[in-house]
Amino acid sequence: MRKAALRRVAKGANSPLTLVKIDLHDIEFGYRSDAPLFRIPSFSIASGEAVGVFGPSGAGKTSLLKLLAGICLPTKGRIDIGGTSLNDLSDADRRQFRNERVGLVFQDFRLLEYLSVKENILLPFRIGAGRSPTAADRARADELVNRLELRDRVSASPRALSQGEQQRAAIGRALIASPQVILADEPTGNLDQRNKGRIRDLLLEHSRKHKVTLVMVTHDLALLDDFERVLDFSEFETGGKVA
Amino acid sequence: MIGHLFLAWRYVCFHRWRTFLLLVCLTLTGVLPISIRLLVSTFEQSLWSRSEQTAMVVGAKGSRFDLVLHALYFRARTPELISMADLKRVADTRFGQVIPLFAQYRARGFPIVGTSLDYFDFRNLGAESGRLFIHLGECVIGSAVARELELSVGDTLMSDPENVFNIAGEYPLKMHVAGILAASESVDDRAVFVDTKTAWVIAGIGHGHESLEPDDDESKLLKKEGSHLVANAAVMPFMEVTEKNRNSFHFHAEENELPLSALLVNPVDQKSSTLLRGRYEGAESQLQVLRPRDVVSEMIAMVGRLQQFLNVNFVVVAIVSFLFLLLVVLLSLRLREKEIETLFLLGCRRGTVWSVVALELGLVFLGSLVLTGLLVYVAQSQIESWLVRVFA
Repeated sequence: MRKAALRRVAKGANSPLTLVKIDLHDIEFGYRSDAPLFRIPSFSIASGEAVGVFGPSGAGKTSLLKLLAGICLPTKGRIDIGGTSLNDLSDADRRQFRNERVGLVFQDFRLLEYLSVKENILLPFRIGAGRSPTAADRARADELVNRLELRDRVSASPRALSQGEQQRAAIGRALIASPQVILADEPTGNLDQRNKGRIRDLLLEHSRKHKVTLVMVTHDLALLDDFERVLDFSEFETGGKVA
Repeated sequence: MIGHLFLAWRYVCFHRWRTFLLLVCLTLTGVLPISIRLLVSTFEQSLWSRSEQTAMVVGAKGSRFDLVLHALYFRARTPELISMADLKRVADTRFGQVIPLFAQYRARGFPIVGTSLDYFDFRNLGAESGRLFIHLGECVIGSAVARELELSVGDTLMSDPENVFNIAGEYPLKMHVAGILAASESVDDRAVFVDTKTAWVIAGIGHGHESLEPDDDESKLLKKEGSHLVANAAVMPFMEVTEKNRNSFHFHAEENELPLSALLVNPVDQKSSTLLRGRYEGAESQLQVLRPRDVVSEMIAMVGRLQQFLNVNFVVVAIVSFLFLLLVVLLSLRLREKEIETLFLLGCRRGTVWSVVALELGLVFLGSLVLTGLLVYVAQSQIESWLVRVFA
């Protein structure tokens, strides 16, 4: 068994963490029941806390995000988010939870090519409730477009965007429903150095300004300097160890 | 639901060529059998209605189908001709009204039908402008001929030369348009009607030329036997019948020998019809008397058998198209695996994905339905005139 290690960075220890709390209780997860990928005995993330997840490929970083998003369930243990136990939710309820309370950002952006930038940003409303976005939703999308500096690209197809612009559009999609948790899986993996910093700053700024929990997986340790805590998967030990 | 419909709409619009191909495939699968069914049904109606109006057809022995199609639709030439003597023999029986037909030539692609004025009463045809033919060299044209050749009363229409290299052959005749028939939505709209005498002139059996006197220049004469003069090729026949030269037109054949291609007979009653048929049924008879309804019913039965074969064919094509569509959808779902996964990751229910895919297909089907409807509507409006053109 691989063991996850948590280490606090300087600022994290004294952060005011009082809102939506994520609690992982003795989590064990693996794609085969006889060979768990990792185990986290006990781990909490509070609202507004920015946690970086760092480690080698195949260590289980993305799987951890999948657990937090309710895409998978742990093979052992339980996950509570804001008082809701993901283990107790049905598959449909976990989808709804993900649609309404979690913002997901992917390394490869995953924008739908047949929608414009703004339509991609408003996508969660159409696939969640199956409704057209309201005027308020559109106003919020406009605000996000401005904040993400995509004003001139709202009608463009994702194909016409640079990679940095695509990731900003994907972040807009993750933030449109005002999620309580943002889970970013190597969001800077496909970007140049300048855009890496920009995307990291955007996510951190949003997390701090709106007290939204941010969990970001990355290979680039330098990007995690400003995160309150870093979960380092490279310090695994059998049985799991939380630092 | 409206959100799903929006996604489906954007998807089909974005992949417009794929959508277009699917639309075309589905539309063709639907349009072809419907159009052919319409075509066959209009064909049947058209044949029935024309054959019901024509009680009997008399012509030279040979193909029954050729004779009936010729007499009803002026289709091509009959392989064998009959003569005025035959017309007289049938008329002398007094079994009914006999209308001659001599339709062997064309004028700018339209059949020239030599007949008598009785034909117009028989078909309930009247001149919309001008009058029916009275003089030699006059013609009455169908409404479609007038429209397509932009002819009006007083204009002239040249018959098509049969062989431009045969200087001894028939010369084309410039006919004067005496009248234009009212539209009848039948093959009569696409015909040029002339008196049988005019038709014989076109056939080269009759002609007019400058008068030859025994004292004339001998270079114009081929033979001189007393008062009987035979002109040679230096004497040009008139190519137009005018008031001045009308009297010079004459026929080089006995009246009884003048040719006809068919006769339309309108029997007085059922008994007359039966007696007339009986009179010409013997093997020694050179004529055949046909009831167009019987021949048409045989033709329709053949078309019906062909249609059954086509129906089976269309069912097979529809099944194959459906399987191809299924394959396209399945392959498309494979190609869209990442997109679908993204939708799931963003919290989309499985049912939502199926709903979006179903709506995409629904939009394509709806589009193809609308396109099919439009094409069938257009086909329906064109089929009748197309059939008339095909038969003319």
